[in-house]
Amino acid sequence: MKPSDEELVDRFRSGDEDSFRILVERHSPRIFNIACRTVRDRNLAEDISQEVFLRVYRFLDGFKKECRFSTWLYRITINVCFNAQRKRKEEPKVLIPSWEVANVGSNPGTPQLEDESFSPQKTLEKKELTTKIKSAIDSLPGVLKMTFILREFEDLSYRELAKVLRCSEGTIKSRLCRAREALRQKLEIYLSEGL
Amino acid sequence: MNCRRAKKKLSPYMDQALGDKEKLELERHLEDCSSCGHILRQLERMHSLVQKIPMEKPRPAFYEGLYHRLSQKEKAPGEGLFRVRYLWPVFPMLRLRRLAATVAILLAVFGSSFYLWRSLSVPEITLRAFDEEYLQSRQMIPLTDELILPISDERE
Repeated sequence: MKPSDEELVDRFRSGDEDSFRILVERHSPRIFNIACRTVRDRNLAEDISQEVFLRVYRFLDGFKKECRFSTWLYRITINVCFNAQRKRKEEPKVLIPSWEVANVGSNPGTPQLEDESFSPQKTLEKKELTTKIKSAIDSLPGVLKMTFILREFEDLSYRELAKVLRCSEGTIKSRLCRAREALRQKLEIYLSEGL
Repeated sequence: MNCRRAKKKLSPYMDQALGDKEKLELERHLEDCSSCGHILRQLERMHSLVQKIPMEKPRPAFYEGLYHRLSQKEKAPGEGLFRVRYLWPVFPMLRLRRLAATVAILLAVFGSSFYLWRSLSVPEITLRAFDEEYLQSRQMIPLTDELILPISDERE
């Protein structure tokens, strides 16, 4: 039976460094995924994920178990993501050639929407659609984007979202409604029933 | 239920976060309103498209970089038993931030009370110093005919 996060935290506090590695391996894909969806840059997402785990390592003794470890971890991730985005906005923008824009946020090996057929035309269309969806999500205001990402990709419940984002469930409901409506309007041409 | 209200309920309806009554009202509205039904289908399609975007995975170099940075970080506070992390369970109150704040407050309290004490006792010291200086100055005037009287007498 796998030890719970809280058990691993206790073990780490008593000096077992390997427990921290287990925590890293267990949560890093999700943390990296959130960072990737938020900033759409693999290198920056890796930096963010590393920063998250460095903070966890540093402050794990201060974790009071008032909430679940994963909730605490998500909170740290959100803070680091927002800080990174703020820093990126302050930095001078680098112009990206138009032919590279389509690949922003994905490396050549990254799969796009799961392909059901091998038609090159369809693959290209799906690749384009993936990029459009990612761009649309990226264009959402910070808090709406984070709420949407945590709900859609991490499948967090309204209650968990409220805990992580420190607001009421009503606020979460309203944010998700606004985020989805904004995305629906942006992607309307791709959401026809025939497609 | 009107369309405006129904549109706000579509998102929680998809997440199955509506109460029984609200859910029933919305479903009744959707039976009659093709516009809201169309929006719901679009939202559902969008959800399914978003779900199909595969999860990104960190490269192996990510872990190497992280463990390297962790090992550097680990060495920073000290080695072995002297690492701050191991001292905390022994002295639970020894949290650096709290300690720093406590020291700062204590310094401020003691500093201000010392300053007040000094400033209140200054007039007495000044008066005594003034007396001594006065006496010295009187003694340093050799040609004076005046008698050097005790200060208490002079004051009277």
